[in-house]
Amino acid sequence: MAGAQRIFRSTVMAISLLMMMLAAPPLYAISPEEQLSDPVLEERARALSGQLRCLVCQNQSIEDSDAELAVDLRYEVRRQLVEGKSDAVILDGLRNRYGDYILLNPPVTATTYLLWGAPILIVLFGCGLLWVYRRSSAGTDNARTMETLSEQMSNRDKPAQIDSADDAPSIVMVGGLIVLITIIATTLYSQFGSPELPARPLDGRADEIASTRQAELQQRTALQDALDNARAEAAAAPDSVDSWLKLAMAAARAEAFDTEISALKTALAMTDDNIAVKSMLAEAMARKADGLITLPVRTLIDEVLTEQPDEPRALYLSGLAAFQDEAYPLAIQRWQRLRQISSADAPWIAMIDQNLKQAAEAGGITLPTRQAEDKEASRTSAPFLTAEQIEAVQSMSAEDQQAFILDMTDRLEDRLKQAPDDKAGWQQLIRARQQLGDNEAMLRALTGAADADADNPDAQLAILEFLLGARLIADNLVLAEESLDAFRQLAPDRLEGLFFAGQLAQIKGNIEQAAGYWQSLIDKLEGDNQLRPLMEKRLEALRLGAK
Amino acid sequence: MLAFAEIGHLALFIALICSICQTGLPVFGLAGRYSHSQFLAISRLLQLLATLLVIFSFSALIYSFIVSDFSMALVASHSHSAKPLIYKISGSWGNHEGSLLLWIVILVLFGGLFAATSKHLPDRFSLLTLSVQASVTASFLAFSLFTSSPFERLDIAPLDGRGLNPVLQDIGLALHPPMLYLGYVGLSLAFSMAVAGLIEGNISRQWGQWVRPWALSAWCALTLGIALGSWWAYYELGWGGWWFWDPVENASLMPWLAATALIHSALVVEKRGQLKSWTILLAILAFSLSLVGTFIVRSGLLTSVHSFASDPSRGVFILCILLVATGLPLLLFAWRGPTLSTRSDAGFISRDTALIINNIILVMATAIVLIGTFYPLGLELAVGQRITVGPPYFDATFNPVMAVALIGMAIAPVTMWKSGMLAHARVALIVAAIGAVVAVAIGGGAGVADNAAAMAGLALLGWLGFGVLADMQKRLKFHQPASILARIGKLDGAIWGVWLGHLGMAVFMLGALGDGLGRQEQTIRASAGDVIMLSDRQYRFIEMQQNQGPNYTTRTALLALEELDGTLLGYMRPETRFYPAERQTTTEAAIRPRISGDDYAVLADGDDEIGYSLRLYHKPFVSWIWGGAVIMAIGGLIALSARTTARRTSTNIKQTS
Amino acid sequence: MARISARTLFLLPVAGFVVLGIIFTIALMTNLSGTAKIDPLPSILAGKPAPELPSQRLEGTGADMSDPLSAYAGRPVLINFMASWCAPCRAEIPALETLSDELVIIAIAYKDKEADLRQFLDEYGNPYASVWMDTDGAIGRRWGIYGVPESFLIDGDGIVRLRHAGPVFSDVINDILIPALEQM
Repeated sequence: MAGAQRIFRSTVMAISLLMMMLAAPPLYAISPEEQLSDPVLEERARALSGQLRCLVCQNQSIEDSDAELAVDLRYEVRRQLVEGKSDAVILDGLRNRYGDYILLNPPVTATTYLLWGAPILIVLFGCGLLWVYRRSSAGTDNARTMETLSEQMSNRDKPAQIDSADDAPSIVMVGGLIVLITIIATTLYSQFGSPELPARPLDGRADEIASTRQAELQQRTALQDALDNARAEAAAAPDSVDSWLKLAMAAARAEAFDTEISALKTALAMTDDNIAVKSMLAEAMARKADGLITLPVRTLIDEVLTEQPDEPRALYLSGLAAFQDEAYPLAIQRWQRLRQISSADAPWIAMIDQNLKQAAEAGGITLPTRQAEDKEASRTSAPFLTAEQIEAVQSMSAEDQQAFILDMTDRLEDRLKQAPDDKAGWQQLIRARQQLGDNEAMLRALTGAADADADNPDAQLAILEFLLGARLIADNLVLAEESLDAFRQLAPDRLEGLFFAGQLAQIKGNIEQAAGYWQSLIDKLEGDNQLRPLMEKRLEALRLGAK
Repeated sequence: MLAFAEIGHLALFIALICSICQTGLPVFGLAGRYSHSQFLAISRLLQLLATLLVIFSFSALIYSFIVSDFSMALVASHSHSAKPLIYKISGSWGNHEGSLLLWIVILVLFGGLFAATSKHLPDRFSLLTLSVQASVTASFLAFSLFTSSPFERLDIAPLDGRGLNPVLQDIGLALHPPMLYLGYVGLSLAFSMAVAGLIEGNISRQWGQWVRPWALSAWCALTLGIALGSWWAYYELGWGGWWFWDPVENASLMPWLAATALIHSALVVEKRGQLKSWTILLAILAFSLSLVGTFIVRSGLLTSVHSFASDPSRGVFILCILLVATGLPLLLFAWRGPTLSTRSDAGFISRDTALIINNIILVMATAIVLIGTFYPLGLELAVGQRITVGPPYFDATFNPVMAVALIGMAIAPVTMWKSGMLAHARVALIVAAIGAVVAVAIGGGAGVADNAAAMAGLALLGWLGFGVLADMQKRLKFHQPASILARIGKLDGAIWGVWLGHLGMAVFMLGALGDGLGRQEQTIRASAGDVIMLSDRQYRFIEMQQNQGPNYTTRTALLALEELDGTLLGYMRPETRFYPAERQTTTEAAIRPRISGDDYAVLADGDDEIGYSLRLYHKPFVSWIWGGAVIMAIGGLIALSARTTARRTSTNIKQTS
Repeated sequence: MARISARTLFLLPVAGFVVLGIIFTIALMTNLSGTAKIDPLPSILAGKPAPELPSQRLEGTGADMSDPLSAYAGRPVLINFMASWCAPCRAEIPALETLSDELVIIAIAYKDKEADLRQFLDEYGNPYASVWMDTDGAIGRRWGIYGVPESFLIDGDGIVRLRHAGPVFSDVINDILIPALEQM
């Protein structure tokens, strides 16, 4: 029943051995520096090393091994030799620390009497056997000769038989047998074989491999580009929480976990410990630790769950933490709760079920059968894509990935139309749409988010930023103006308002007005703000263009 | 289109059912309604069918490796598109599933060969032998198909495989397992014939004649297989050791010792009609010990009690095979064996007695290795204490016992069957004794015979070598080269087998003693331009070179090996290779093998600033270790062919008369 | 007499094989049931006074003291050999954190660097009462460790009671450490 735990454990053990090997630079048995200058001592050191087992190896002496522990012990032996200790004292000292296991020559103790006695017993027994044989041969030679003779006679009576043709089995019988055998074998094969899978020799796959590699490369470049862009945007708008969140998202996709974590930490500080951001941070830190729910992650999860007991991401992570602690009932409880509050068509349902099954197996627990109540989906949102799903998606081909994400995203949008108040859900939709590059859908998501979060100036700002970035302002002037108005109402002091007001004015051809907005923006920027020179340049260009 | 590999998979299932049917045949066949010969004909047919099917299946697997069909799980995890073709092919048996299939291939090959060549044997005996052989085949086929199928498929074929481990890309490692399996599995036929004989309850003298060729060929393969493994360790592991008393090595040594006893005792059965029950026991034990070896390697039990057995069902399955395949025959032996025992009619000084002593000693040696190998496991289970049984234990127990066997190896060939010695025995033994004294004297002169063990080793070497040579001289009269061919023609071919087998042992000892007593070593940090002295030669460190291999980069130290006066003997190029894709570093020792001894250089860490760490060895006669094994195997083959020709002749006579 | 003994001789191979078969079966079963992994390595130190401990403390961990054990005289302590470069040492931190409510845990950083160690503690948490440096691994060898992580339970009199090689997970705590603590 403890299968999963054992697998985890053994993997960890294997890794630990591996790490111990990797940690040490490659060493090749004895190195010149180890040797003692005194040849007599050195020879003793060699002899001693040959008698000591490399404890972490398979049956090697420390003399022959390159494991780190072996090297350490070789030094230890030499150090003690230089101190003038005798061979016996050195061996005894090591035996006291590492036990008899370290001695390649097993010492004679109560438990090895049998080991050392066995060869003696074996030799005695062999001699006894020989004696028995000799004594039995003392029988009368005549009797022996008779026996041999009679045997030879009997052998002669039974000449080797040659198969005669008329003894051959009938064709029908043999044929029937072979048909029967084939039928049974084919039935068995149909249970185990995969006749439906075609052969995939490498020669026939050149195109597929080339295109997949190409797609992989493109995707990697795209992810990296997205990350670079997001990084630039965040640098350009360090006050915008959203830009940091976007950076975190891009970093997660590009598996730049350190960037993701620092971006999320920035966002967390800016939002005064926003719950959603905090749980995202927890997830990012867990991902960085290869899925291990570390202590700091646990602290974060606890904080999130205290404030909002049904925060889905934290629920998921706390289930994982319990699973890793082998507290399977707790893990099941957490994940079942998560399942309850998720909508029935949520993409992560399958994965949670999988996890639940694993936890049930590992803990020897029977899961209650699915109740109808599950169908009554709560409208609370959950992580759009979990770490595992992202991983699964990454192993797909590029087209499949696109289709998968698109499908998930459309489903998310449908759900949000039913429940337009779900702010976090809209944010997820925005992030997804951003990846997919469908501008119209992106705008739908942005406006939806702004409607859901009518008090949040950032939501309005996001619309403006998107329109500006995608060069769509001119086509969506009404929407842009509405958003700008809303933004300036909600956050009259924020400078972004001035910037976009100028931008809009410029697009409408109202250069003077635009220059006014920007001038006042520049005036309000601190002297050392890096945006200042940028804006000044812009203003200059604007004025030049006007002339 | 059905994939080729799928047909191979299907073929394996058909072979399984064939083998199961074949196993059951005697139950009906012996019940009586039909004649044995009819059932034997069916059994042969099924055996040939199974043989062809399994070979086809294995070819399909190799084909999948050659074309890199990564929709095969095995290929995906153990091969790689960038591997050289030869390692793609060897990769098919360089893993658990594939090697198991190879094992089965050899099993059915031996079964098929027996089916094809057993026309002159009694029907009943052939039928039973084939049935027992088929039961072993069926067990392993089931093991393969239900727990370790090599034909697992993947729904989505990965773009490339994961099997590019550079350490495993090695010709020694590619050849070692097939050769070893040929030996392990070859013993299965002797086993089957022993069990068939036990079931019949009647072992004739001819039984010894029937079983010996199979045992001999298996023994030859086993000898070469072990030698290959040891040779691989010697040149690959980079410190010039060649035998480590490792459990896995012991697992191959035990069947070899038992098989050595078997080929000798089968001779007694054949020539003298004695030692029947003993020989039966050896035939069973030799194959059981092969199974034990397979078991401990595949269950990961001994090598790593504290690591994880990959798949529990595998260990259980192979344990069941082991328990049944050994337990039942041994019970049968306990029941039927006593009726087979014969009384000896030979004098104490006779070849009979010599061979019996040889047998007892070999079995004692096997028992010692067995105990030394498994005692730590038993102790840990019984009292939880962990100990190590390493080389010193075997040196102290195994070596003295084998020393007695070596003494006998010079004596037995000059004794006569039943009683007495050959006319020239006295001379041969005196020469052997002189040889012993001479060897010790030479060793003393070279300053290596400084302890009792070394002196005993040298004495044994001289005794055995001179003993065998004296016997050869007596019969061939090398000093009269004109008529030597005539004398060779008159000789029984089998005597060559004895001579080469025993001489091979002496050659092996020379290698082992030369390396053990005369090895020179120098571990030093050196830079280009340095000259390093080692015994009667010197290494001139010319330069470091960087090279690019197909999928690795190397650092090579170019060393000139010179006489002390500066005469160039040759260049040595020890390397360290770095495989960037696997982030693995391997060392490639430079070896200059000569009959008089190997020069062996290893490059380790270092850079231009601090110099490079070099380990230089001179290992006198070390190649003789493997040369000796090859000579032994050749001796076995000659004995084998001598036997076959002899049998042909006798059959012809029988037919003409 | 001779006949009987001859018959017995033929039973000997079976008898020998039965012994071997039993060993194999038990070994395989122990291996499969996973108990082999929980079995402590032979603990040569058990029942003996704890060997020397390091005297260099990682600044900022634990109170100001010159010796790891002096502050806890009379109380059981878990000595945990660990290192920032070892993966299982990360995995055992949450379980150690739980354990730290009941037991003082002292880390001996085996062949580690201070900076790496600090980063490790930041990233994975610090369940340790104090962390001590065994920079060259000499202390580890004095204790006879094979690698990291390895833990030793010391009783109030400074006697080693138990050794556990490998990471401390909750089952190790429940099945091994807690029973051992209760016995003290």
